[in-house]
Amino acid sequence: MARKYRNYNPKERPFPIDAQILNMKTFFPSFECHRSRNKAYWIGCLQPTTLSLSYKIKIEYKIGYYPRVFVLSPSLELRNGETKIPHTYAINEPCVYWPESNEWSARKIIAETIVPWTSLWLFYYEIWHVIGKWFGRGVHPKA
Amino acid sequence: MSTTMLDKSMSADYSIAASQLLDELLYRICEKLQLSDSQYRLAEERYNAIGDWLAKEDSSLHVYNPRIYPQGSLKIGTTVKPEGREEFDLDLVCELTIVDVKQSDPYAFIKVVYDRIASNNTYKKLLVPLKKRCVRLKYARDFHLDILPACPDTDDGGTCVWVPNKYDKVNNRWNWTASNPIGYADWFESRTKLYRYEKEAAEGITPMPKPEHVYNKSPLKLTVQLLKRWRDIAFEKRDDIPSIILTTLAAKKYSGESTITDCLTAILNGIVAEISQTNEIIYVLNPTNAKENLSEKWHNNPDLYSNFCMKVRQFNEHWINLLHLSGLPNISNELYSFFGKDVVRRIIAEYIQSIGNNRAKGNLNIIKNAGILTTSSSAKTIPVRRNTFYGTEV
Repeated sequence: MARKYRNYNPKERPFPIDAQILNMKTFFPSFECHRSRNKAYWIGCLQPTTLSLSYKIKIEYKIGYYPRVFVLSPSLELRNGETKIPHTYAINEPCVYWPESNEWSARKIIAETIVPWTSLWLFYYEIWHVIGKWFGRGVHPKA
Repeated sequence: MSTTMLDKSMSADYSIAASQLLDELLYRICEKLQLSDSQYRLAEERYNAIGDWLAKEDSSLHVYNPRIYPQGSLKIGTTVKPEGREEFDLDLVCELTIVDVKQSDPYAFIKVVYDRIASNNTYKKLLVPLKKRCVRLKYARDFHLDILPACPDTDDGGTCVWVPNKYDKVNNRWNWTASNPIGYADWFESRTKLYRYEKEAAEGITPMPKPEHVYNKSPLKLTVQLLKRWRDIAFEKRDDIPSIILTTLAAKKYSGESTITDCLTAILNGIVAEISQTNEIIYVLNPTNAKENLSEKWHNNPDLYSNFCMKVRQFNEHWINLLHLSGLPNISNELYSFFGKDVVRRIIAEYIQSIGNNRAKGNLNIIKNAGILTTSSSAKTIPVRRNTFYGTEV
């Protein structure tokens, strides 16, 4: 499917990049932040349960575009006999929200949305490996 | 099912110990393994009915002043549903006072109890032919009630008793053997109190102990349930490693650990240390009646003992390994191998459901910085807002 990276609503004044950075720093102080002009990316670790692996993730955001999440390590793995990890764009890129809903918008705060959703996604990803079924619900784009 | 303990275990404390979630999963395994509340009520009903039948004034046993009480796992709260069949084994003692018991014939002694039970038309149908030292009633799909006839040991006083031994094929006769079910249960309870004080009650028919919810149980009892379950999975024949040996070893090695995880770690380590000290077969004696060698089976069959040693060492290694593992898939796989896939999958499914329900109600949070999911909320947490996972179809 053709993925829309741009997310621009002229009526909506985006939450400034500095404010996103400040929120990330407050809630996830161990995440490293790299910033240039109107974009930033963060690298840090999330562990969805105390018995889970700790996953190093990267969040990329540019004002006017959708934020993207990547799992850097350990690499996400397929289950035996499966060809895809549920709810991903690419093997290492989880889709943690539905772009067409207003779950995410330029007015939302990454630290309060994208990051908790990524942790939840990682939980369901581990459970998918345990049980063989995606328990996190979600939707798939129409073909 | 209540999710309160799950909530408590997934506490918002940033320094949450990994073993808390593991402990929660182990609690739930124990809950699945023990008698359910309805099975418990049924057992209690049947226990009371059979007790009445044995002790009644017009009973043929009345002259022996019968005293009926539960023993074994039922008494101490460590019942475990056997793997691969439906019935629990529940043990009762029927104490009959006769003089010079050791001069009398053990078989005739069992037979008195057997005949009394057989004189009731309902029980007659449930009776299993007399082969072992106890009288067995088989209630299909629920449990076996094993009634062990016993005679107070008047020399010893206290709670020691003589019970018929297993039929001795070599000498073609039945023998007497020493036992002490009440003393044993008291000893076991005293061991559980290393961690938590629990109260205890006691003529004629002693009421069955009230069922304990897993969260009110001592970690020692829960660990005994897990060890028995491991035994059922790891050994072809559960009778090869009698529950009483596991229970006694566990209670001796227990030193007051407060979590199931720590308790199992300490007990496995203690058992492995003891078997490694000597090449001889260890003696596990009844701590309340040294005349009773609980490990007699091992002394008669050394292969059973070496197999036990090998497997308990393996369990210990894998268990220590588990404590250092991360990743729910890896941890689940180890738990499957210890306690059986079915029961572990059932409790994982419950855990997933509890997370899902909390998410739907908006009660799911993550701990700041770490990202750990929790159902408690505090200044250290951020709510997980509503989201819809997306992405291309599989």
